[in-house]
Formats: sequence, structure tokens, C-alpha cells
Amino acid sequence: MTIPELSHAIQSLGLMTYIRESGYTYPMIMSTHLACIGVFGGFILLTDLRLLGWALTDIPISTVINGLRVWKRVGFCIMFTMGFLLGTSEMDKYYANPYFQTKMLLLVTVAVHAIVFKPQVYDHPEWLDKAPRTPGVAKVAAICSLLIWIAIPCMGRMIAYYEPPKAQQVLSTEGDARNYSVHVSPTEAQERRLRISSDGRG
Amino acid sequence: MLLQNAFTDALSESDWAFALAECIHIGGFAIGVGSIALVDLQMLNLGMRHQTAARILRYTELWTVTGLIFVVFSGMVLFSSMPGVYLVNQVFPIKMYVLVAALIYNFTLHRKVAVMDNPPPLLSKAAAIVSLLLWVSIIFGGIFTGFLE
Repeated sequence: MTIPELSHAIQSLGLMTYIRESGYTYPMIMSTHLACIGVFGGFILLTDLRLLGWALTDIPISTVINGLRVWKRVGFCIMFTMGFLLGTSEMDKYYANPYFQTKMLLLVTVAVHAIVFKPQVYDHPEWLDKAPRTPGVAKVAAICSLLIWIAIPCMGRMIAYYEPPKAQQVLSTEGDARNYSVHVSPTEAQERRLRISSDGRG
Repeated sequence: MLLQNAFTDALSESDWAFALAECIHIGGFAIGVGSIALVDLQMLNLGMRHQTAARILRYTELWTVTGLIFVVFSGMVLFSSMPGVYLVNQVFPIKMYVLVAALIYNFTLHRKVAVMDNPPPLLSKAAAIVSLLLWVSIIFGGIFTGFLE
């Protein structure tokens, strides 16, 4: 089974088809995904900022890490589930999308980050409190985490802006579509622009 | 009423500028809303041990304000690309009303309850839940603005 076939099989599953074709389910899932970025993603950033000594400065590192651990896990699970549903319901469009691929790669680096830094930084944050200055390893962990978690939602947003290579694309609003044998639907961003511009801007 | 200049034209012609503003918008609300939610969590007694909402507020306030400034300004940039379209959108004006309500609420009532020494537990919890509902509904409003005309 090739990747295009596999992608098509995934998005053809009942649940994925339902999500893709539903009017409100898709934006509800996307809103939940974004709301989780707002609430729990903010917790990740704030933990990183605490490790760097830029936020929550008078609150011990261990208090911040231990207090937010369960919330970040809950948030990640919801965020991941919602993202999984969004991604798999549009698999045909996404599997070849370089932003989508980069986002998946970045999710792998989240796991790598955990494997590298969890034992030293996140599992035993008490020793970080005792150190006269926050140890370098904790700061490196924080900077890596910040970079990864800023890049992930940006890539997520950029997925909508990818335009497939010209040969496959229907260029025309001017009605020259018969010259293009493969019909590919417009990108999400183009669709949105089209929808929006249809009722006002002209 | 609204400026149409080279800047807004560039924005509506280029997906890149729009996309970049969207990324800043998301990053901004992650910090802004995330730091408010952290205070809310403390008010709900679900946050960090041996801490008070007042302390969390004090040490996150600057980030809340910074995040919200980024969100609002990037939001204005997004809006300026197609003002006419957003103004007639079914969802967008409601989002703006709720946003104004949330901003006022956050820096008045919510703040007042958060910094109280011994707030009545019910008041504290209610204030936190209202805050979370307001901010989450604004994010929902943002997504639905893009999906509904």
C-alpha cells in the first residue's frame, strides 16, 4: 500500500469522513485544539519562562513543575486527540504538505526532548531549587522547549497555506480548467479567502 | 473610516504576511490566556501547592499584558486586511464584544478577587470559571469567524 493509498484509506474511515463533511464538528474540534493551545500551551511556555528566570520568579521551580505537570499532560492529551482527528480527516491533502510533515517531525522532537531532559530536569526539580543559580541544563531544556512549542503551532497554521505544485493545480478562475487534467481542490486558506470574499469584498 | 494603504494591500495580497500575523496571534494568546488561566487554576484550588492566586498574578501579570498586547495588535493587523468582510461576519462582532467584556472583567473584578487575602471560596471559584469561559469562548469565536460568513 502506497502512502497516498494509505492516506486515502485513513480519511475514508467513517469518523474521519463525518468530521470532514460535517458543518460544525470540524470547527468545534479545531476550536478545542486552539483553546488547549491557549490554556495548556501557555502553561508550557510559562514553565519554560520560569526555568529561564523570566516569569514566576519568586515561586520555586519545583512548585511550578510539580503543580503544572498533571495539567500539561491533560492538555497535551486533548490537544493531541483533537489534532489527530483534524489531521486524519484531511489525510489526502496533508500527507504531502511540507508544513504538516515538519509539524510531525517537531512532535517527534517533543519525545526526544522528554527523553533527554526529563530525568535531569523535570523528574527531580527539587535539586534545581537548591542550586544557587538555575543550572545550565535546565535553561537549555527551557530554550529547546520554547523553540519547539512555538514552532509547532506556527507549522500547524501554515499547513493551511501550502499550495500543491503548479502542475496539479487548477489555476483558473477564468475557466481554463479543461487544460488541467488533475483537479485538486484549493488549499484551505484559498477556500477561506474565497468564502470570505464572496460576501463583501468583491 | 479605515485606512487603505500600501501596508494593508500588501497584507491582503500576501498569504505570508497574513499567516505570520496569525502565528503571532496564536503565540500571543498562548501567553496571555495561559497566564490568566494559571491564576484561575489557583483560584479554583487546582494549581500549585502553598501558593496564592495573588502571588501567581503578581508574577505573571507582565506576561499577561505582554501577551494580550501581541494578540490585540496582531488581531488588528489581521482585521485590517479585510475589514469589510469581518464587520459583516456573523461571529466576529460578537467575538469583539466578548473580548471587550473579558478585558474589562480581567483587570477589574477578576483581579480584585484574585488579590483578596481571604476571598469567599465560592466567589473565587465563580470568578475563575467566568474568566476561563470568557477567554475560551473568544478563541472559539476566532475559529468560527473563519468558518462562517
